[in-house]
Amino acid sequence: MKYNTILFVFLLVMVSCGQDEEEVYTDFEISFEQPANFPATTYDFEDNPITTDGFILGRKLFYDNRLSLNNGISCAECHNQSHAFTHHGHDLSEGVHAGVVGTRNSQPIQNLAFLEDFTWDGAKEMLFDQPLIPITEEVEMDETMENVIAKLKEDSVYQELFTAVFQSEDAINSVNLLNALSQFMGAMVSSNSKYDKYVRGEVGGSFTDLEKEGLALFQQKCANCHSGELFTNQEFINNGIGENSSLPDETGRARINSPNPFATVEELKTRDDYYQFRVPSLRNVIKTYPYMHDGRFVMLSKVLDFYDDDTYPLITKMDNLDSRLIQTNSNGEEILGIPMTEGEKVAILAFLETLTDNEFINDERFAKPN
Amino acid sequence: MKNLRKWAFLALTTTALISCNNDDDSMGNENEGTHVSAVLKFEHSLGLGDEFTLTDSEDNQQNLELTKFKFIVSDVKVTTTNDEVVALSNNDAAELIDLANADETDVVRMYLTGIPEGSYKSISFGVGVSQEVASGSTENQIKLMELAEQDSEDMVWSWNPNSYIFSKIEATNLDVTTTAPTNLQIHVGNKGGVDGFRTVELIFPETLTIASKISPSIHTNVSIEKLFTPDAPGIEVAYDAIGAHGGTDDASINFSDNYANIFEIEHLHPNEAAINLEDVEMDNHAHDDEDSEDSHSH
Repeated sequence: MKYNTILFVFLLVMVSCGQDEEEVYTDFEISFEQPANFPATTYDFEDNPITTDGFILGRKLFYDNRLSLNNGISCAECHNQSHAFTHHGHDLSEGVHAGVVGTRNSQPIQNLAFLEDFTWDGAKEMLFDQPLIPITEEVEMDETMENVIAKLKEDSVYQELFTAVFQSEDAINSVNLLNALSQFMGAMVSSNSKYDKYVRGEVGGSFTDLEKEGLALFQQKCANCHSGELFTNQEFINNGIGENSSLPDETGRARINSPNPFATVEELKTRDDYYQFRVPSLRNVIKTYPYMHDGRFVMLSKVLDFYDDDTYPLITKMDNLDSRLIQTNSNGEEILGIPMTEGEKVAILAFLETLTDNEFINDERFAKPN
Repeated sequence: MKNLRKWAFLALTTTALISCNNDDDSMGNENEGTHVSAVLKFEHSLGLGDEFTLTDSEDNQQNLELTKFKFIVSDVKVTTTNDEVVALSNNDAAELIDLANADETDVVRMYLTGIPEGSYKSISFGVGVSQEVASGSTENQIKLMELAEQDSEDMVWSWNPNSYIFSKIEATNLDVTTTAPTNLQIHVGNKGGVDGFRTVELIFPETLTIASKISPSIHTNVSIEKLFTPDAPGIEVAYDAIGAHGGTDDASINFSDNYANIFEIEHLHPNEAAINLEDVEMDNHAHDDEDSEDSHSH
């Protein structure tokens, strides 16, 4: 019966020449809402407005294994809602090929409508075409866009959904596939953590003394880079994370910025953007373990130990180590990292806990549809 | 029941499409199908498998066998004799020119539709995809993305802000005794602050008439070697100066500039019989070259 209703609405849309109709076939509506404490969006609403039916199509695609080789995995394989759309505890992730892992830690899908660029090295500047990477990368979904499109065209439900959303005949194509995914991902806003309620003065936003102390310390020690309400300045920096000997081809941002598409690792090592990575957002950071571009730190406390640099793991000083991580003590000696006492780390960790947004993590609109 | 729904959907869709179709096909085409306004015939100086010689950065001659040559054409514009510029949509006129699809005379044809009837003096097009287009309307990139995604994303750099690879040339080095770099592999795009997008403008040797009863063709020579040894004032590029062998930005820029140098109109075939796009797509590139002398006008 439900299916009949859906079909009927699509027919109505078609017959009425594709004007926006009521979305009576869903029990919710998606409309992008700008959180009061957030920066301006970067998402191109003019080119690809977020609609409820576009969101639903994007969600269906996000959870569809047909986006990968041999229909092995969907986007959700490495982007689990329970972990703010990261890969529940994995440092690196297997793609469609058993035993073959990628080279980067799965990043959360949240607040992408506010980001200037995407992936750990900023390979993409538009959310629109970011999915080209995971769909086609051999170590991820290893599929071709042509195959994905061919598979979707065999499915009459997709034909109807694409036609309804994009209001054209034969609407299944690469651009519309990417636009639908963009609508789904663009609508995924995490802005209701305890911290958000605290800064907005809302119910549920009262901080303990320890959390308040942690916030003050965070602002003093961390917010140079993890700045603003997205908790990232969106820069690419070398944060002192040393080379990973098991990933010898990793060059960070250098590969993206080099004009030479065939540049060797040795050539890229000479660039001043070698091993630079995106300063990640810290929203839902408790849920997105493990940490760093290659997921090498399982515990958030280890991340603080790393930046503190007193104990293992230590900061690696390459020539382009970010200057904010190099300080001089009163004896004129160079100190790497960010000095923190053990007590300060406890407070900072308590504050970071407040960045967890359980409403986002449990929002059924973002979950796999039945 | 399910079938019934499907048929009902199809029937209604068809009705909807017919009733919604704002018939813009005002090109005076009386036949069914899409009239081809003009044909851009790219005759390449080399075919795949042909041998050629280039100079490397140490002034050695390298013998090479061409294995790949392809480029994306976008932003096609034609200019009337009254200096009106007609821009063709990239969803119609964009094309991937791939030597692998050439006929036995190394010709690849590109079919232009929707050019208003009239008299024209020049045509221009981009080699590659401009940053403006690549970061602009996604709807206007439907065909461009399909072209780039052919052959397992052969013209896509998925990890680059501008996803399109503009052009590729690849060749096998046949000189086994050389100690110089081996194979030729140059891929051009907009990467790392070096934008390889270039616009080519070709002036017709005489006025080109666009009319419904004809599909004139523009026979254009593509001198592949001129990418490395362009006519003055172009700057020569050693074949190993860019690409796989760690080049300089300058060499990449010079090489990209030379794309504007490789195209030259040989002649027009102004009065060729009208054809429909649907017909030529059916026997895709299976045409004989009908270079009959009487239709030439040099």
